[in-house]
Parts: sequence; C-alpha cells; structure tokens
Amino acid sequence: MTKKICALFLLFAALSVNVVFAVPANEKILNMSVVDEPNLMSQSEIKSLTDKIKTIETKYNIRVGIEFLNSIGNSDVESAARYLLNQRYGDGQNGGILLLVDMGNRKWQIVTDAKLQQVIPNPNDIAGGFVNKLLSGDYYGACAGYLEGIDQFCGYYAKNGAAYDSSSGFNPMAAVMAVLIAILCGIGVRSWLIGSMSNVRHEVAASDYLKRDTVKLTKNRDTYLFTNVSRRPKPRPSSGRSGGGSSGGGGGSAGGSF
Amino acid sequence: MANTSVSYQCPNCSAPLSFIPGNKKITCEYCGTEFEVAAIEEMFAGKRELAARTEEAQAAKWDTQNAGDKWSADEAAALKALTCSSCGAELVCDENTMATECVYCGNPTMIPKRFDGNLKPDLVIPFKKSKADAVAALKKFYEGHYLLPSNFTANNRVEAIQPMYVPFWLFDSSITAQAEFRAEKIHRYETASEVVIETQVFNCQRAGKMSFEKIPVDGSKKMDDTYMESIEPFDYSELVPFATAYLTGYLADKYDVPAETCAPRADKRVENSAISVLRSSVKNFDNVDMQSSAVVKDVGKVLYALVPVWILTTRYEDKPYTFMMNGQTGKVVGSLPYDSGKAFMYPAICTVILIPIIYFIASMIL
Repeated sequence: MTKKICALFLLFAALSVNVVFAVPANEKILNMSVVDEPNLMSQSEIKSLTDKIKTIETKYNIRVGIEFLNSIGNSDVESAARYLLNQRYGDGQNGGILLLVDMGNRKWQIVTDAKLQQVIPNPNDIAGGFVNKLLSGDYYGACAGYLEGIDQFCGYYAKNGAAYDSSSGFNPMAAVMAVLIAILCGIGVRSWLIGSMSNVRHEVAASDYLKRDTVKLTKNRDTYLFTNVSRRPKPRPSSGRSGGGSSGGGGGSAGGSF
Repeated sequence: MANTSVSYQCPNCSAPLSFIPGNKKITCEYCGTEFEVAAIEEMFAGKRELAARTEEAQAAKWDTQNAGDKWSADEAAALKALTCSSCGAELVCDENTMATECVYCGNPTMIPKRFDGNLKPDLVIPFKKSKADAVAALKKFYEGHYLLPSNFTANNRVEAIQPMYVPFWLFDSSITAQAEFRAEKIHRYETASEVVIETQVFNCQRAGKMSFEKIPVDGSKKMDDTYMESIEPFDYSELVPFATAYLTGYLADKYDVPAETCAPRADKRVENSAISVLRSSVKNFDNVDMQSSAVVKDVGKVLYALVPVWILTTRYEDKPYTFMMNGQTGKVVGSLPYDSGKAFMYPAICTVILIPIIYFIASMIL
C-alpha cells in the first residue's frame, strides 16, 4: 500500500515537473503581458496589444495575459495554462485571465481564476471568432478579439453588478430555426384542419370482411441470405476545431484545437 | 406487383446470378456476395411458384351467374304501374329507378316496367334510421369542425333528404395468397474506434388461405364510389331475403354496373388485406419489404343486395353539398366547406404560440 502511495506521489511530481519545465521559465518574459515565442506578430502589434491590456488592467483591476508558445510538449494545455495563470497573472485585485496558444500541438486555452470567473462564467463566450482568426493566421486579430471580449464582459459586470449571461442574448440561429419549424407546424395544422372537413375516403382494404377463423398459414419459411456490414469511424471527442468550456471552484476554462 | 416469369437475380444488388462451375456457392459477379446454393434454390422455387400462381390469378373469374334472381311473374304483375296508382299522376324517373314516391300525393310506387330481364336482389338491409335521425346525425356531423363557416350552420337548411336503396354487389371469396418478403435484422454495436452496423438479410416466404365475406361494391353509376366506400361497414347480421315490401316509401335503383365490372375493386381490396395478413406474420425483424405476391381466388361468389342510404343535400353560397348516411348504422360521410379566414387564422395562432417555445428550446440546444 505504501509503495502504491509512493508511486502515485512520484507520478504526480513527475507530471508537475513536466508542466513546469515544458513551459518557458525565461526571466525576461515574466513581466510581459504578451508572450510571442514563435514570433507570429510584429513588434508594433505586440505593443498595441500590450497597450490594450494595460488599459483593461487599469480599468478593471485585473491581470490579462496572452502567451503564444512554440510547444508545451506532452503537457496538458489546460494544466499548463492554469499553472502560468497562477504564476504570472495571479496578482490581479479582481482576478486574472490568460490565453495560452500551443503552436506545436495547435491547441488554445483560456483560463480564468476564481475571482474573474464571477465576471466571465464561461470563457468560451469570449472566444467568438477566435478560432477562425487563428486558423486564418490573423493572430493579432484573434488576440484583439479576445481582449475586446474581456472588456465587454468586465464592463457589463461593472455596470450591472452581475455577469453577462450569454444564453439570455438573442440567438439569430435559434430564431430562424424557431420561425421555420413553427411555420411548418402551422402548415401541418392547416392541412390537418382542412383534411378533417371531409371523411370521404377510398377504402383500400377488406379487413372488415375477413373471416378471422379462416386464416391458415400454409407456408412460413425464413431463409437467411447474407450479411452486410458497414463500419464508420467514431467521431473523436477532442478533434473539434473549438472546444467546450468548464468551470469549477478554481476558475473557468475553455479550449480546443485549431 | 406480381410477375408471371422468374429471373435469377442477386437478392443484394439485383444483378443476374450465374453459377460458376467448380464453386460450391453461387457468387454474384457484380457485388461479390456469396450465397448457399440451397438458399438460392429455395428462394427461387418460391418465386417460380408465385409466378405460376400469378398466371392462375389472372385467369380466375368471379362466378356471377348465381347473383340475383329472376322476377317472378306475380311480382312483375304486382309492380306494373307507370302512373301513380293513388292520384293518377305520371311518374318521372330515370331508367334505373325501381321504386319512388309520387311527387303529388306522396304515394310510394314501384316502377317495374324496365325490370324485364334484370335481376331481382338476393338480399336487402332494411332501413333502420329515420328521416329525423338523418337530420340529427347531419347536425352532429357539423360539430367539432373548427373551419366550418359560421353562417353555414346558422343559415343551414337541408334542401333535400332522400332515402334510397342503393344496389350493391357482395363478393364472397376464399383465396390462397402467397408473398415473398425481404426482411432485415439490424445489429449495431461499437468498438473502441468504430461504429459497426451488421444487417442480416432474410428471404421470408409466406402462404396462406383465408376467406372474405360479402365485400360490398356499389353497382350504381350515379352513386360516388368513394362515398359508398366511406359509409361502410354494414352489419350483415341484419341482412334479410329481398322482398318488394321493403322498398315501399323509399327510392330504389337497380344496378347499372354489372358485377364483372365491379369485381376488380373487390379483388384489389382482398389482395391488399391478404398481403397485410401475410406481412403481419413476418415477425421479429427490423425492416420488412414485400418483394412479390400472388393472390388466387379459390372460390368467388357474388350476391346482389340493396343497401339503405340517406342522401342529404344542402346549399352554401350557391354551391350544393351532398352528405350520405348509412341507413343502417347512421354513419354520416361528406365534405364540408371551410372558411378561408379561419383556415389562415388558426394555423397563424398556432405558429405565433410555437415560435417562442421552439426558440427557447433551440437556444438551449445551440
């Protein structure tokens, strides 16, 4: 039993070390709000993003981070993002949020701490259009959209004292679907009502006149012929372009692949 | 539906099958499916039998010789009258009228002049429903139709109510039916990486004997066939041997569509029901499709009967609407007019109510 506990502890320690060492621990970048390890953006773009982050941080007393890394190896992107958030962006008075993009595995993750989770319950809500911009290589646009989302959510919270509920907003897709289905139902109801005005129908069967006691099956044979087999691969749960969100006591997160 | 010849086709892809010498199985050269020789032989033996049966079925005829009876001389003599025997007025009727009512004095009158050489009905179902029953049944028929124009019921006046004995042919038949079905059992399961669907295909052969009793087909050209089929069924326990006395006070027509002409309608209904019975015996499969069928009439007998029908005519916006009531069971059939405004309003209300409900559900899902 003791051996098992020791083994589990060692495994946990190894995984933790893996996370710690997989992400860059360069002292130079510790104070930066935008880390662009693969050099995806120009200096002016980084400066523009940094300025925007400073504005948001000052306005709402939060910490905001953007990190593009070459690779985090085999580490779990959410664990890595959470580790970085706690290490570098955990000192915001009203909380912190980090966007981590692992270019090696082409995965992204947005994580918030427990404080900012009150303001942004589902970080997936601020990732609208984010993945498409990443796919098209517009990294600056993706980051700008992310910052704009943070600004909107924090502004809404500051004004209303409650988090913006994305599900309460108008959903045009659902509206179009509702109108179409309701119209189809209306057409169906109309056809049924008009059809009910007549009970004149052709009789196609003579079941009313069948003498049930005369029915005798004289042949009843089932012969197996062949078997067709069709196979299709199962959809991989994590292979989607965008991922799902989750929240817990330690903060919220959203992520996926691109 | 049924063929009179058989060609050996692959049950999977319908390509021609051929036996490859030296091979123990029959292989389809097109889709590669292999079949046991015995299974194919059994399947096509059934098809050969079906083809033979189909030829027989096409040759089988209804025995209409014994339908109806000749009028006796006494009966014909008793019915001789072209003028009303009560008031002497001339009776005007069409060539098929057997019985009518004098429009002047209301005297019920038989008109046998044109009966010569025609058949006397074997059976009759006497009227059970009165004129008052018919009017009440029609009023009740109007109820529960949301699109009925408001002024249709408010200003409704039944223009004409006529009780009429309608000539029907009643077909008795004992048949042998055979059918072949393609049935599938679908087994779906998942492995770690795949969803696998196995479809086992079976050839199901069914044959059986059954009898149908007194399938009614109207023998009157002026009666709408669909209306006559809609007033079914009849309670045959109340069929009685024909007597002219039953016609007094009612209109009655003789048949003007012979039994041979009506027989295909009865045959089609028998065939549909027989196949339905056989199909219901193909159990424990996920999909069942009929491949071929043959229904052979072993015994076919026809009776000639008169059936009671109330014909009610009303008028709305200068357009006549005809309703018919089964004079025995009281079942009313007909087509009512509908209010275009209501036909738009009710679906529109339904649509407006549904939009927020569906939107709520859709926004939860999306």
